[in-house]
Amino acid sequence: MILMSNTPVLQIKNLKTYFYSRDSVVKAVDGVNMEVHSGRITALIGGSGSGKSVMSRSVMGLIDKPGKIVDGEIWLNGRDLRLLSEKEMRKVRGKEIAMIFQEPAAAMNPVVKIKDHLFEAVHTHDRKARRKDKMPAFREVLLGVGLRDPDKILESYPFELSGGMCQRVMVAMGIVANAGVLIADEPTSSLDLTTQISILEELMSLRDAGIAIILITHDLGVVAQTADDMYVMKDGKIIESGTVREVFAAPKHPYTRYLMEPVHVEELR
Amino acid sequence: MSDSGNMVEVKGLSKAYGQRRQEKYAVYNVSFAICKGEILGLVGESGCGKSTLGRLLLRLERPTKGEIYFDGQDITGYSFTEMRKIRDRMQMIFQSSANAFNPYYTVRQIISEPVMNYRKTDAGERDALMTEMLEKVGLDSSYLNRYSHELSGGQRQRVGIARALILGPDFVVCDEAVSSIDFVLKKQILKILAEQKKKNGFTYLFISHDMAAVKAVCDRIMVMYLGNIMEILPEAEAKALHPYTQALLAAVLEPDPNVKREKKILFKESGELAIPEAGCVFWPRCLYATETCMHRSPELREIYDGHFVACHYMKNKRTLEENA
Repeated sequence: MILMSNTPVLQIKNLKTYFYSRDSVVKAVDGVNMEVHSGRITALIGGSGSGKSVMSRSVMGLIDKPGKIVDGEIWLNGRDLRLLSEKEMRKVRGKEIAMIFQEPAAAMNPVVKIKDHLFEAVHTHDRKARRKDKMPAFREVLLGVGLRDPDKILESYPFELSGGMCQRVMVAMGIVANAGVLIADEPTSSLDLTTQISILEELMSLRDAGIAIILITHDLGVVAQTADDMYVMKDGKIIESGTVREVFAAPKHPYTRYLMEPVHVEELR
Repeated sequence: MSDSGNMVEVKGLSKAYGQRRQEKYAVYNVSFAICKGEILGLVGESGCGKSTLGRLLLRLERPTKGEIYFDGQDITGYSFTEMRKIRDRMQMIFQSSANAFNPYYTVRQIISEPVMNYRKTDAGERDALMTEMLEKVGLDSSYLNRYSHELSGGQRQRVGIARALILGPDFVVCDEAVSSIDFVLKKQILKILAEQKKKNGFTYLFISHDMAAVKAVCDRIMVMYLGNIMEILPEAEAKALHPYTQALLAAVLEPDPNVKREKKILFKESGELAIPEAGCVFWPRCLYATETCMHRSPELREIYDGHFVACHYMKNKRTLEENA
């Protein structure tokens, strides 16, 4: 447990998401407890298939059949998201909690311009919004995520941008409706090292601006250099948690220790 | 010509794509050699021509210019049939194992295909060979009847490795073989590759943008930028001299919260990577670029023992020390 004086902005209690097939049940998320605080980056780390992504999709209410959230509570801004209807949930998504996906190019519609992607993110929550009025705000948000020529970007299609630029646009879409919680699902896994750094720096400056960020990754370097708190996930369960410094200084679970053990160079040569 | 102990040697190799007037070079005037029994790492950002170079060495692409020697033979002009005769000595492990297999094939069919093409065996011998290979990569014969979609990503990647290694090739190109998999499997797969090298003296070209993996297994590291070789490090731990290599290495995140990353700008950001009209390919992003860099392109020169750098300001060891 992480001891913090302020209350967490997002609190997940005993979350269970199962997937049903004809003759078996896969417990993708099996009793997860987690706290996310404003102005901190909370890393969720685990191997592939450990349930990291299912867990974040559960929070966003994006679990479809045959999957089902069978138990647990997801408290965001004083409400349990599990009790909301799909219509109410739609108001929460993007406005209070937003998500950026692993493959930026695949997450955007190739025949929709960047300005319309951004407008869609706003328009979903503010039906009276006019595209023209919003343009200065879009320019500002694009500048904010480090895109230097916002006018050109707004008129571009996703395929005209590089992977790193697409990912910045994704971050911009996440924050354009002023969401207080941002879930970043492997935001840099498909990007070059050099681009990775600049995206992570954007996330860190958002954190410094008071946004709560959940950073899902399988890269320990990313966790060590950017995150404040961390949760280690394995087989649908949280096996270790704490501040990044605590866990790195003294990993307790054998799996965490295995993760942190570097590849032995001599052994391999 | 070269029977010195080089598995692969290329001279002035170039590959251009596109129509006559708008040719774009993916690989430009590249010369290097891979010694027998060595793992040469090839790193660079996406789009720098790493994969194209790997495919050129196996003649999966036809070079525009230059020569390729494989174990001393000039294979540049080999026809399809001539290449086919030596294909069992060179193999490739593909980046996305999900797309590298026929979805209608079982693991048995996937792995036995190269054996049936190149070795005279009966079904029993093949099965024994396949079981042995699967065990080497940490699987067993129970996987033979599965389809590739029934395997996890890591298992599939290992089947890809089994397929590439079953003929006992001399030279293997690993194109981002560990980039898309998680760290637990990454360790396992690096171990398998290193073991095979130690036991059987395989030669590898290890293409990756994962600097940590490259440093862990490679004997030498070659750095590419926009189709050109920028630097060849004589060993994994050698000090990088080229500004581009330094920038790449500085972008590696240390898995230790106590090591604070220096917030230093190492090179200028540019929206798109375009080859400049003249001069060094890296000058538009280089922090140290001068007038000379904009007009004259530097050659890849040996600075000292096996350490090659393509930069005007790395003339000899003395200037290096002054720069440092």
